[in-house]
Amino acid sequence: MINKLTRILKLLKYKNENDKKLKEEDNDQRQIPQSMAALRKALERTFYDCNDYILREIDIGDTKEQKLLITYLDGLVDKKIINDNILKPLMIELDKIDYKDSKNKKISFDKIKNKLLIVTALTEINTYKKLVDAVLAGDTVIYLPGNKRALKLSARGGNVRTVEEPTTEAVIRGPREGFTETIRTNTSLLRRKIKSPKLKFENYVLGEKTQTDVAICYIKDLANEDIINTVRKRLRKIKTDAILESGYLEEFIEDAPFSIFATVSNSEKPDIVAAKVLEGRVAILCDGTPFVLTVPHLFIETLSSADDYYSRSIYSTFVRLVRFSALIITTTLPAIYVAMVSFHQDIIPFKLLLTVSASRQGVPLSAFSETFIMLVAFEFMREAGVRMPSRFGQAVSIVGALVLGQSAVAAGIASDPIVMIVALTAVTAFVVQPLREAIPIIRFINLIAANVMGLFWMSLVLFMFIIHLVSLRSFGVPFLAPFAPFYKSDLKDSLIRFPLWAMWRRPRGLENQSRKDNEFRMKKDIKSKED
Amino acid sequence: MIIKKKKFLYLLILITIILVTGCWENVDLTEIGLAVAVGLDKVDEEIEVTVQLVKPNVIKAKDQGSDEESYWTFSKTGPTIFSAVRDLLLTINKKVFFRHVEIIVIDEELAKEGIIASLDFFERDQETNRKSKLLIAKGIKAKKVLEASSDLDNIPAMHLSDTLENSKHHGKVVNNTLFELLQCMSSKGFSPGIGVIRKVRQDVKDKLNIKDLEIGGTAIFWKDKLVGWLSPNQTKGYLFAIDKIESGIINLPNPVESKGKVALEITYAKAKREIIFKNNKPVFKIEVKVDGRLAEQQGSGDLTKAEMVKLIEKKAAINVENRIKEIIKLAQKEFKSDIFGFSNIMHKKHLSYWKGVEDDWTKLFCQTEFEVNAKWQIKNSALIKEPVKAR
Repeated sequence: MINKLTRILKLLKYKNENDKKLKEEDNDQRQIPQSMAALRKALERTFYDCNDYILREIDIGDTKEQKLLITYLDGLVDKKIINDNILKPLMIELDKIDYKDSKNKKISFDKIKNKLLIVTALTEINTYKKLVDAVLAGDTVIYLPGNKRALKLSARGGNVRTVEEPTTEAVIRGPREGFTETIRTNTSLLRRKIKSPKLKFENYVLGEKTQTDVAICYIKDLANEDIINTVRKRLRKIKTDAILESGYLEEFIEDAPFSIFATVSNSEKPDIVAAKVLEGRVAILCDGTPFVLTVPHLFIETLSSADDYYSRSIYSTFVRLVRFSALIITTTLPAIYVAMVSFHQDIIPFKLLLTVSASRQGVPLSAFSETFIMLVAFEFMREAGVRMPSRFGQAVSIVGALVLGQSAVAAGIASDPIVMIVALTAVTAFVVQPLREAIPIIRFINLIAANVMGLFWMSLVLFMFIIHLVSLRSFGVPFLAPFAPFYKSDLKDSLIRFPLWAMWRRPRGLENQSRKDNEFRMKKDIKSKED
Repeated sequence: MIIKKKKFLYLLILITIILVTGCWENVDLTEIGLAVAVGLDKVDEEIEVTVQLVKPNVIKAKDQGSDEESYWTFSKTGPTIFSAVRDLLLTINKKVFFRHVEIIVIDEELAKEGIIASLDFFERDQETNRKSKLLIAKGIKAKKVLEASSDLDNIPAMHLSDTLENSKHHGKVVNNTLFELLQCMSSKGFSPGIGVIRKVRQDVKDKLNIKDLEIGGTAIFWKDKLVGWLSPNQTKGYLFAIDKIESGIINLPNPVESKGKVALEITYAKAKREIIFKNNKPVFKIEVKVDGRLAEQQGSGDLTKAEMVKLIEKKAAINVENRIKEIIKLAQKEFKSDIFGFSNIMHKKHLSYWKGVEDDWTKLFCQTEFEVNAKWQIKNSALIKEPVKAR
């Protein structure tokens, strides 16, 4: 069945590509018409019924012979720049200087480009498609009749969100800034952290309709060339209408689309992305979202946080072990409970058994159904908590705490231990945020397996997950590195974290073969100099 | 190398899978009746099985002041234990679960006929607890023991089990688990002892309380048949000899003031049993090394002086030797049973000799000479040196 599906998908893909080719042929190479009227007509046809489209003709100089066309999309441009730096010189200050060509008393294209316009980013464009794309991207285009080219001026503006503290990845210590929806702001945030010309941004425009700016970011000579090439290749393969969020990109470029584990990580914080880029990873920035992707993504990253590198190494190690145990508890605790209560009553310590047994008396549901219902109820509450407007927060927490917890026990629908177990499972699930999409699925599969055949099937299921994890690759790097394959030096930054100066080697999984400076961090031995 | 690693991994997975396999069926906790104690009695050539079941909800309700008894005992008679256990279900609404049986009480009469027959079920069945402790009921029916209530614990079986566990503080009762016992019994010629529970107040007739009972002493077996008893005090000597004593008190007369007594607490004891040959005849040797401390002193005198310590050490050593010799005499003359496990040592160390005497072991054991050596060392006198002098 999957084969059939993939075949249909492939067919659809080819069909789309053929259609696009036909359309692109007449659009792509069309020249900019030389006469003002022709261009005006063409533009008006293209931007038909777009009420944010502005097209203006102005006279330049004292004669009325020469006209100039200026066009942009309202709301995407900074009007102050257009008024002060473009219109003012062209309309007023033109008189003050000697602009005329000695022969025909006309102003030349080059003079406007080089002398008159007070705009820094200024490029020539020569096809009609590029002109339209520039307007759509928020640039301003100036056209002087009689030329085959036009001028693209970058005067982007409009309302954008400023740099704020992100709400998703809270840290106790560390920078408070977060990425915004504007790609240019985001690249600047990264550039400010890594002041090196080797930090490269490669630009891509993806999405037939959305024309979204996408940039891949890496450090030349440090990032593995194979990984960069894989990213490039996969980005080029994308043929889609729209890229609205980096999640769209993620689905197109990830290694294992049907795995419950993500092989692409995302972050909202420039310091995290900068650190990953400095380790040799590749970041993918996408216009319109503050979430920046980084690849390759390894399992061990899900257990680490930016805080770890800013706090003392012993404490970080402790916190990482806490996170790891939270991961184990949140995925297996309900299953272990069900297995023990339904199958292995003999391995529960006697006094605990008495307590559990006493609270289970009179509960009409089996241990499994009870656990299942409470876990599903929790999932409902969690989802409601994310979706609902914050004003309803109180109502949901009362319903959650009282009705589902206390009253369920008082009414004899659920037993005491299960409320505690679900609470512990829920709390620990929030500890390992990067795995939040995989955890509930592992938990439920484990739970069902435990109910079918106790710990025996549960361990089989866990083995299956481990086998799957071992087989995963993220852009050519094994997902479970440094555990499998085993890299001894990388263990310094895994479940434990050594002091920074002790982690003197770059991660081996991401190693660049030609790179010389693999030893990049150490305490310099400056004692001899002091002597 | 890699192939070897892979094979090892597969093996590891396989072993884990086999080890973690549990019980087949999914039985909810509420559907099982938790048996905590089992009593075995002999009634008209049949075996009467008594189980003590826990009522968990009553234990929970007791916190809120319920007066209901939190346990429930019930008996059934049958030609075999298993049939009697199954017949329990004619009356009990839940599946009786033996995995948490803390204690198995065996009636004296049944023990005289041999206990292996009664323990076979508990060894064979997969739903029993091999860590459950054993007691022989002396002069009382096992059923009565199980029916006895406890004021200290909600579950009488737990009371009994914890009390038996106390043997590590006084050394007056043998504490054997089912597994240990079966292991010892399966070796030829070795007949280990089992702890004893008996009634201390004869006037109580109807409903017993655990305070009318006492756990102390040892039941001595030949093969698996009960042949005699050791008193709680004699048990101490026995435990010294088989290296099972952990702590206990030895009383000696005060060397300074003969009216008073001195109590020594055993803090460490190590017994070494070996067989040496003299003139081609085996001699059983027991060497005991004990560390202790002065725990109580009646009468005056500084007993922490070097010569006093030496004197007490010597007396204590003789005391231990005498205790062991008493047991040896009983074992050889009265019980005619190798209760020290010398057969094991002979089998392990002197196989060729063992093969010759294997069948006549008991006879040989009763005639063999013993050599007993004890050594005491007093480490300290607790917090003070000599008693307060009243002036």
